[in-house]
Amino acid sequence: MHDVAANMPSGSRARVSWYGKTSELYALLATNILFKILTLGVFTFWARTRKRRYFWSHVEFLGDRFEYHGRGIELFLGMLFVAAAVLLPLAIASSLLTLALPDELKAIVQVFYFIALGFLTGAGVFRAIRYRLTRSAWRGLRFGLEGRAGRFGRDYLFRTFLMLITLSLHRPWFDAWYYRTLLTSTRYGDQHTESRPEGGELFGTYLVCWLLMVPTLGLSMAAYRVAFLRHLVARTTLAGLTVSFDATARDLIFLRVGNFLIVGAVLLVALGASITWTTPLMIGSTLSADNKSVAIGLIFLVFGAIAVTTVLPLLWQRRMRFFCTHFVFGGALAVDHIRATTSDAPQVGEGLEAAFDFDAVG
Amino acid sequence: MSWSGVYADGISPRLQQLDVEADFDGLQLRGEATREHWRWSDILAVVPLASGEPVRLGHRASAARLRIDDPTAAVALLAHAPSLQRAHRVRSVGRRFSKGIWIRFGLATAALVFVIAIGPDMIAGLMPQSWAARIGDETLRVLAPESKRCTDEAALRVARDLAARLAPTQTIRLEIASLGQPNAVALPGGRIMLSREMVAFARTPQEIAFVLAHELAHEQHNDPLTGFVRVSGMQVLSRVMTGGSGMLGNAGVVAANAPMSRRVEARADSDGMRMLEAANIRHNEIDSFWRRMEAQTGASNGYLASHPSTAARARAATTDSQDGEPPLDAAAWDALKKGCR
Repeated sequence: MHDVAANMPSGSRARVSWYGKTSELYALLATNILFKILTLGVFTFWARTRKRRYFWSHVEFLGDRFEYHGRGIELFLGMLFVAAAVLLPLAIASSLLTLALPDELKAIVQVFYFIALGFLTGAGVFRAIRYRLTRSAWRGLRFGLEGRAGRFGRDYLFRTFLMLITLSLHRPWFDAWYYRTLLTSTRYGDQHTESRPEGGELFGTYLVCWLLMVPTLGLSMAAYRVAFLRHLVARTTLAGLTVSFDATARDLIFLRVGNFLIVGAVLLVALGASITWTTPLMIGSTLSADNKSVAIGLIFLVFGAIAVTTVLPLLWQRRMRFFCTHFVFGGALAVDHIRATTSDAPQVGEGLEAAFDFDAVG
Repeated sequence: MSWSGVYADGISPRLQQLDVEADFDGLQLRGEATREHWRWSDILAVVPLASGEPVRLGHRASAARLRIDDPTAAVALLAHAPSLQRAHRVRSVGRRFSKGIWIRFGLATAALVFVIAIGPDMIAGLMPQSWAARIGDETLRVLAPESKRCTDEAALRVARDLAARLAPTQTIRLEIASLGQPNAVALPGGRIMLSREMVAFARTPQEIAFVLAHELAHEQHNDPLTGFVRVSGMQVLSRVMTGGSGMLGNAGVVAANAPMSRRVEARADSDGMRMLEAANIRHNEIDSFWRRMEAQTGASNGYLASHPSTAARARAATTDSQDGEPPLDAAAWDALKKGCR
């Protein structure tokens, strides 16, 4: 058998490459938004799938592209199940208890409601990541995530509670637990990722950033994010493959400030255009109040959609270029030790995560 | 035509170099450990083929992958299989939904249909009056805080007596407050809010009587509570169907609710007229009330409107009958107009 260099022999270094084009991202987003408007938002699940398919297939590692095998119908069904099995009963139970109970007991109901919400959020994140990994492949082999969503949800709830009572000082331990749990449960083929981040080692850096958060308007947290990412990837390996992250806090701040300025400029223009178009409707129109509201809403919707279409591909490009540039892989990918598996994968996915507005991967 | 290719068998990520030759039927792959023939109909594009770009292919029946880095390969392969210009639908893990999935899908759909079609009436009917009253009071508090309410006892007594005359068997709590426009609102639990602006807008006691009769008809049918349950359910549903797209989801709720809302409003108009007749109250000037309303607030029309068009409401209220008594005497009318202007 003749091996090729792309098997990544020991001692070499490699980066992930991003081949997405801004023009293609604009076309993708524009069609997604158009279909979302035409279907009053129902196309969201298919739009999300199209986006992921594009992103995955334009990221290359060692000469080969990633693949996304998910389908819109799976996301749609996942959301439908969650609505019927979780959201509706939760909303109805919460409403009925709030109505039926005397005022002094309502606070207890609220506490239970937030406990349920915290647990479901954690479980939802786990299920969403499992769904995405089981639908992701490289060189024909799929990724996966072992473990139980319920246990992750329980720990997530407990650690979120610790975050609350420590005013976020628990953050380094939270992050270390979160990524350690997810990464050690992640597998490529039959090989599990190993990850051993330690929150205690990052507490000093975090404390300084935490104290500087107000005077720096939150920008100090970029230093912590970079320190954490470096720490995390330095302690993570997969089948002999090691990772490092070579960006500095300044690089991350430039990325975020740049994004903020782009978003701010485009939103200002969109807001100005919306106000210019709606002012005549508000002061000189003979439309009824109902129709006026609809017309004004539509104008804001159209300019909002134009603003989002304008700004998002630029942000995607900047983010993908940034991360692809700064993650460096070393060591030797032990291809002979990796085999495909036939583990069960969920048939539907992401309902909980989508319901609670989390987007953990992209 | 032949090229050098890189092959992964889908079982291991190890790459093998091999020779790839295109023939009439498909691609011949020949390597030291691999000898395969991929028919054109079984070949899928992992990434759409583009001239000058590496070719990335897969096989429909396995997870094997083939890459040809030669920039001339794409054009040659497209000549054989033009469909490779498009990315294939990669087979999903859950590509074939099991019977259990379809059963759960059916149950979930049934649950959601219940929320929209049957549920609101049933839930509203089963809800204890004390709960409905609590929702009504809370809405009343948000809609018209104490500072905005009319506190003139004489004026409130006139309006409440008129409501009691129109619907003697109903328990009603009526308030008058500033709402910013001539309007009246029926709320769950028998709560009715009449706006000061409506009192000022009305030219005759008949008009106020009609407005109250309309809201009382809503209360008779339990419309406010049913509507509250329906819109709450639809908001959850829209969040589900749109994955949380707020503005589009709300537009969907408005569009879905509008036809039902218009039917309910038309029914309240006609039942309100019947209520006036039953109470022996004259109601021959209601059409002019709607025409003046249209002149002041603009035409209410369109598919997204929550109420029937003002013109249709005026037509439905047209009558030449002079039968019945005036709803209020001059002193009572004066007390209402002056007390809650």
